[in-house]
Amino acid sequence: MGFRFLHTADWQLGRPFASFEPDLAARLKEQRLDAIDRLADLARQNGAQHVLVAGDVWDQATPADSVLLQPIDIMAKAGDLHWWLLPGNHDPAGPASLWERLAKHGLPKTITPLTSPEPQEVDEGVSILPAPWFSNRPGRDLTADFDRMATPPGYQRIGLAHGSVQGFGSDPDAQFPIAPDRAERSGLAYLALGDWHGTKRVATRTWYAGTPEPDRFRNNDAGHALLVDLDQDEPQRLVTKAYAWDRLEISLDRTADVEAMLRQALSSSWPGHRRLVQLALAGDVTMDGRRTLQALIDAETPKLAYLDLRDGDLAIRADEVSTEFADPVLADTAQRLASLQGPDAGHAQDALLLLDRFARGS
Amino acid sequence: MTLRFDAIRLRHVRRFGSEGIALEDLSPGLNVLSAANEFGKSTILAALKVALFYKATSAHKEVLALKSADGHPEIEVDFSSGGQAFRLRKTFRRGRGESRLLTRPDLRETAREAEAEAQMASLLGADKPEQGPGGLLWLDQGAALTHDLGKPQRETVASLLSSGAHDIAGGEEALRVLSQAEKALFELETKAKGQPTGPLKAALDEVESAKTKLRTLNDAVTHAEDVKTALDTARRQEGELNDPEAERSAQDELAAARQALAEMRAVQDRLRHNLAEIKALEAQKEGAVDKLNEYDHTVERFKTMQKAAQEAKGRTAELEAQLQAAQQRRHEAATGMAKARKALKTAEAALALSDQYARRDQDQERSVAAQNALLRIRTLRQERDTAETLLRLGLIDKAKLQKLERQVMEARAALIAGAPLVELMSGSAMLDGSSLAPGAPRPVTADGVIEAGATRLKITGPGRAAAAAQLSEANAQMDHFLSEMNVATVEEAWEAASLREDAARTVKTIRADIEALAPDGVAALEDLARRNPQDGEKLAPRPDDPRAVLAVQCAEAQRTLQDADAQAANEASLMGQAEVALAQHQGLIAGEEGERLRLAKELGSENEQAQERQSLAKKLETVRGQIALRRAEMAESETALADHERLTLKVKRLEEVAANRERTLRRARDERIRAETELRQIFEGGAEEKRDAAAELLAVAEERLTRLERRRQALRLLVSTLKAVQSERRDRLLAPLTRELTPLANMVFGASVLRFEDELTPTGLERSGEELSVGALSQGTQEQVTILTRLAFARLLARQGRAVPVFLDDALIYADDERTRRVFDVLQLVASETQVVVFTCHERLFDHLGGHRLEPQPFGVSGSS
Repeated sequence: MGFRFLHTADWQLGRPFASFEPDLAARLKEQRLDAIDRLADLARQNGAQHVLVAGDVWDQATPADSVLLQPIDIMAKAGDLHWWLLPGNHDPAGPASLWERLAKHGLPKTITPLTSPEPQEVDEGVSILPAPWFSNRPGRDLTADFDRMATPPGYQRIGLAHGSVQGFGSDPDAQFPIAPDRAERSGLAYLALGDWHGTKRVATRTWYAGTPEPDRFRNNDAGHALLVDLDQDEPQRLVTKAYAWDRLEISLDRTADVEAMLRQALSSSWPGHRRLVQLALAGDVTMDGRRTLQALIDAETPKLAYLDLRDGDLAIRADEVSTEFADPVLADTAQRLASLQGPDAGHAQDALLLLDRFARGS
Repeated sequence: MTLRFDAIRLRHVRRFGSEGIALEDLSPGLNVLSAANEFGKSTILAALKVALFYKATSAHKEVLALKSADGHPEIEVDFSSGGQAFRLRKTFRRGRGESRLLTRPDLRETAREAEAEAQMASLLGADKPEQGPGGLLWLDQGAALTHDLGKPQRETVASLLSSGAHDIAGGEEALRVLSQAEKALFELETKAKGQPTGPLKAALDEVESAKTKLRTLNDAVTHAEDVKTALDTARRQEGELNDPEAERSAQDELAAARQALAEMRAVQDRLRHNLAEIKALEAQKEGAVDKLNEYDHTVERFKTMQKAAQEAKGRTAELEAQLQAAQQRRHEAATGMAKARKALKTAEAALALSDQYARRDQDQERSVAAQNALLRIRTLRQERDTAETLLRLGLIDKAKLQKLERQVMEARAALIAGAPLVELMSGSAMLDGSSLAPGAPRPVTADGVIEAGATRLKITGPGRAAAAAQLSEANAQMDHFLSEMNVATVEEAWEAASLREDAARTVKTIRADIEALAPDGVAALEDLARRNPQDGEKLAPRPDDPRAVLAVQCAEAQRTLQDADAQAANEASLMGQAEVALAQHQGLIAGEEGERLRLAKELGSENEQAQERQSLAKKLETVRGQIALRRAEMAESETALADHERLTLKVKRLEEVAANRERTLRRARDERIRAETELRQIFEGGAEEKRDAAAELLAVAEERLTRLERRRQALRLLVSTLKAVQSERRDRLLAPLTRELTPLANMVFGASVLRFEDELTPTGLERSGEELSVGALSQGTQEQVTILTRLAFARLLARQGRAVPVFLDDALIYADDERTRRVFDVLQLVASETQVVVFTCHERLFDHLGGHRLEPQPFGVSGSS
């Protein structure tokens, strides 16, 4: 067994989640803190004594004291592990930065901020080569410094960096991306990256760990940490998330079994109360099908922590809509609304739903 | 099936007692019953409705309302339907009334009681008065002002307009949905102006509020960055300034400079002392110079006074000599004056004598001239006498002479003009005494006596005697005038007139000449002629010189005297001046003399003066020497102090540098502390987290706003689409009615369109591109709209082969005359298609309606059996 450590990133502590109801927002925030404990447990369970956080530990450069110190407290209590924290674009190092505040506050020896681009020996024969951010626009590939960072001969070099890799990452068009062959160029045993919130292999011995707790509707395999063994070729993916963020896209047509499709899409083994769903509906349905959809959504929504319905691309078919209303005026009106094209087509769909609702007295 | 009424009869109905009333022979077209108020017109219509729709046994209030005191209501209605003539006869009596349906004209009973009433209901298509066409077309008094239709009437209209059940059914549900949609819409926007309200307004406000908050928090975050930058700068500055070695070096340099500067201060004191000394010496020098100058000035003044005293002596002698000479010249002038006076007296005496001789010579000349003038006057008097002799014959009035001459000539011309011509043809003859010559006809201007041989003939003619008498009269006047003028002929008279006028002028000229010769009268002239100048006093011998020479001599003597006089005066003046000048000069000499003597004593001799001046000059030189000495000392000090300024500036510079450094350091420290404190507050506040939360809240608010706005747009679209569908459907449904109504409305209102809503009642009138709701129209127009609508229904029924009479009971109450006449035209038009019965109390106005006049009769007088 080689040197083992836990690779994680993008905790982004202090993210407000203000777009959610206060209760849910508070739970989501709390889970980000709890994720530290889960990471500690996973490290212990897997024989890792070091946790490397590849940037963006905090969401803001100047977090409130409570946001700054509560995670430190959790990490300090997990003092059997060594926490290596790298400043990222959200929490860059530098004068008057949060890192300075931490230094002033005082940190236990088991927590090491990597605020200087200097190699750090983490264990016998193993060095970390950090590429900390000093501003949110560094103006260069910070990992280029790895080339000049000397380590004793025979030492295994672990690169720790944050940012987009050339042609990939949170910002594929980044002006100064990390070279994709950085690990090879700089003689790294492993390059631990942060910034991309999903878990992702970039190249040999080069991985994005992703955020341990997802924070957006992007199906990018978020909610993991990577257990890295320098003697192994591939790191091991460990689930860390408490909340699932699922984006469901359903395309319907007149032949679709609307109810079956929706039920299947919404089905999940993840507990509903810790599940956030963004449901994007597209295609066209009959008026009856639309009613069915709505009834099902209305029934399922209370089970979930959150449901974001995106039905702007869903249309009600015009050809049968008039038969849905006995009143000839309503039938004519529905027919017209369903047939309306052009810029008002979206409003016409909404109007049609309202018409149906009013007509049915709901 | 069509329906029309032929007669209506009633008895024992309200005020129509046993005699009753009958309207017979109704026309199939327009019928007019014109009667005063309280006549009972409305009772007739009410009775008709009761007869047609209520059972004879009914106790309905409408039936009971017909009751009369003298019997049970009896009503007969003759009508035609489907080509058959009927009579409905009813006697209303509760529980025991009778109904009979008879055919006409045979009056055979076809049905009675319930069967008769059932047949009537079938014929009328309704079993209640408000139902069927009658409910629509029989307008009670005042009903025209109620344009809303009741439910039965709307059903009738719907049956009229619809082509199938589908068109009639529905609409209510749509109205409910529309109402809900509008309610939902107006929860989001105001009804009047579509302004956001309720949750939409709240969402808008929330977005704005969130934006404002985000801006504020963004500013706070940006400010935090600024504070961080400021902190970094302050720390760097503080670090740079906190260099102990540099500070010590600066302090040493300042101390050395201060020591050098202290040494310079003693030299500086000496310099200041010398400067004060020089200032005092300069004052002494100025005093010595003043004293020397003053002494030189006194000496100079004394010398000038000495010289002036010498000159004054000479001047006194000169003035005394001038005075003496002036006195001498004055004496000589007085002598000259006496001589001149004597010469003048002699010259004046000679001139006076010469003048006496001259006057005597003039008198002699005037005497001789007077004698000559007297001779001339004598000659002139003789010429005057001759002329006056001629004048005594009197002047001839030339105008009168001319007039008389013309008078004679005109009388003669008249006589000649009227005179016959006598021509000698042969032989010889004389006319008025003169022979006639052959070939020379002669007018008879005289007596007209022709002598031919012994024969004497006299020619007379009409007017000749008068002309001859006129000529004779003229000649006589002329002769009388000539005689008065003492002349014989006219020619002589003209000549005498000229001569006598000349004589008059001559006399006048002579008188003027004599007066010129003797302006003072002839006697004075004769007296002058008689005088002899030699007869006067004896004069001394005439001077030898002519008077002009004597006058010149006299003038010269006068000038000589004047010159002598002027010279004497001038000399006297000069003498006075010399005396004054001498006195002044002597005074002046006396004034200066005292001062001159004082100075002479003060200054002493010239030697003494030279010694004194030398002493003063020496004192001055001594002071000057002292000043030069001090200046030399100062120059030495200044040379020594040349470095002082540089040293002072250096000390100043080093002190400023130290102070600046201290100040900058203090400022940097303060700034660092301030920035650190502020950053601590910012960190405690969690500005970035709040900013991010605000951004997310703004996104949520915007999404909510978008959702509400989307709902509003959807509701708007739903409402507008619903209304459009309703409107189109209504238009389609009402098209048959509109076709009938529009021509009628045009006849009354001009080009216009009546709008309907779902209740099938007119709701708006559009004229000239402007639409007004019926409620907003005048009462008259509302009334007309209702009537026209009902008439359109009547036409529509007629068009469908179901013509039903129209009843209008005092319907046109509010219309003006013009509008009423237009409605009359409409009634005439409608009456050509269906029966129209009009009841009115406006007899005179309704005379213009035309149509068939209904004359009420008692029940049973005709028609009824």
